[in-house]
Amino acid sequence: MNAHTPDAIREAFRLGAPAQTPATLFGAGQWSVYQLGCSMREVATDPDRMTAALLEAQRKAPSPIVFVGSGFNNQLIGALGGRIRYPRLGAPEVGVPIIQDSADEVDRLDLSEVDRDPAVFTVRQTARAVGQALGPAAIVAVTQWGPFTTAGQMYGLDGFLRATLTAPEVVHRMTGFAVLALKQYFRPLLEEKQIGLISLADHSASSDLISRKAFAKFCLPPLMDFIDWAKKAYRVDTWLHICGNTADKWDLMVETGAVCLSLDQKVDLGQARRVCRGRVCLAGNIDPVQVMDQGGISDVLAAVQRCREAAGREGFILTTGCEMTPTTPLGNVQAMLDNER
Amino acid sequence: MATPERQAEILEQLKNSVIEYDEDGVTRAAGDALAEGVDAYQAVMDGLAAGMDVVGTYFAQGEYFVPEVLMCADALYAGLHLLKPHIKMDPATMVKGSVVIGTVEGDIHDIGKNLVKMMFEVAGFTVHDLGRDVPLDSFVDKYLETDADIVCMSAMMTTTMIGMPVVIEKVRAKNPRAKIMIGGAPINEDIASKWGADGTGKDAPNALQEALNMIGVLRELGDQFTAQRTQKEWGADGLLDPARS
Repeated sequence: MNAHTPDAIREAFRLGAPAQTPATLFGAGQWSVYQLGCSMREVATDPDRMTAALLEAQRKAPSPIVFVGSGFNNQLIGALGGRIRYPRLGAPEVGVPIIQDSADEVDRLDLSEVDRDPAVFTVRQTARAVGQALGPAAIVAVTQWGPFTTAGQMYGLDGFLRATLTAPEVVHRMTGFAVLALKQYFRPLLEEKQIGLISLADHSASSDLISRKAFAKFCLPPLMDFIDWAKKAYRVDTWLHICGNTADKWDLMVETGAVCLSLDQKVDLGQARRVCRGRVCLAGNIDPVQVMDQGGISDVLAAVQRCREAAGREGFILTTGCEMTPTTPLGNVQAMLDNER
Repeated sequence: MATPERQAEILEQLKNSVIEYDEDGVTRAAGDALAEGVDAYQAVMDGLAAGMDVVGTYFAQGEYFVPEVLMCADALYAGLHLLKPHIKMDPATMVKGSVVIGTVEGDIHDIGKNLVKMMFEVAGFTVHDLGRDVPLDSFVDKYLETDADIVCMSAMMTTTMIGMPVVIEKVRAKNPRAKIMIGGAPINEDIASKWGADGTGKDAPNALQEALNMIGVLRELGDQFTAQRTQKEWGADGLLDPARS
């Protein structure tokens, strides 16, 4: 079996051991846009260019999963009234959050705005076009923030984190609304059966920021709600990435129902394997900066070997521990994907 | 004037109120300190900063996380706001130094940066805060404009941290001996060393930890100041007595 086929990925999701360790790009939206020589702003509302960026990246470095919308996660917040800024470097960011004074403001937000937003339209159209272009050669995944991060971006992260201590009802209210917004974002593509996988990145739920207790209280329930909805209503699984060393919450991450836990480079993959064996597929965790951006091909291959030895063959997908930099050398990406040499 | 016992009690209240992120408690204790003649500098360093030192330990041990630390920082700032105008020290012997600090271009995550900034402010550094999503050349321009001692950069994302070596190279081109610190979730010692930075959090996962580790160093600097003050026989008003200097 070719390591780069979607079938190998699906087998890993089922906790099987494909003949070769499947390897995939993770996210890589900014890297793909950079490959095309465009800025994120130029691509954000241009479905043709966004499609071209992903297909060009796929031509240069074929990946069994294509993550559409990577780097453009904040567009959902923009669609609902957040002010999006396009820095010269990096991904579009929320310059001004949606909530100005009170969480009551979510009652006045119109979820149908998501369907009228040109940037959201661009991601959806790109998912359709990439799916048509690649057919069964790749799984089309669409990415978004997880509910806790989405809510934090809407509210303003500093105040949102303080609210986990001072106003838990506000956090629950915001994450509840975030789940509704995420469903609105994904529903058309799910109904059209355009995507084979959902990717959620919940970086604000990282162990670098909040405790296991806070994760269980504020992050787990909305993640379970959303992931269960996608699985039951549309039979689409979710790939879950949380930044940082998540060792204290792997059992809770398994409880979310995600088909695959994408682990940061700070994670001890062998330890994760021992805890999660037989329960969930793991993906990771080559360092995107020190190895992929700053290292050479020999460094990448050494990291590939280390990951393989630590994670074993069953239910494991090789990829980066977090989003790649735009400047990651193509040769390093190809070395990670063509990891059998 | 407060008795030594009462002074110790006030300092303990300041410290504990920071640890328990009790902003009202800090405000009350700071008011007591001022009303009862406790040296404002001592109240900051042995009360507020001592509390933040414990918070740093709690953070390192995984007892506190960012929400708790943010609340503690709020409490500390409430006290600092009241006490700072009353600090009487000779500018010539204060903890000297100035830093240029900011979150690199493309990155708006500034919680860690703001906490690092707070630590510098507590210690009496002059802080030139460029904010977040700072164009890379602005670090260099501000460094040259202010002749700062340290340039501090923060990044939370792997996709934005690559701006740091660009700034380091440009600053070094102007002054090869410039001190540069970098921090943030994806930064570690190896990458800091590779890029030629002078420092980052030794064991810390992000810039926040670096800031919290820093407080111990800052307090040592404060102790040095106190020793100098004793050696030079400072006057009761906190200023150097010209007759004895």
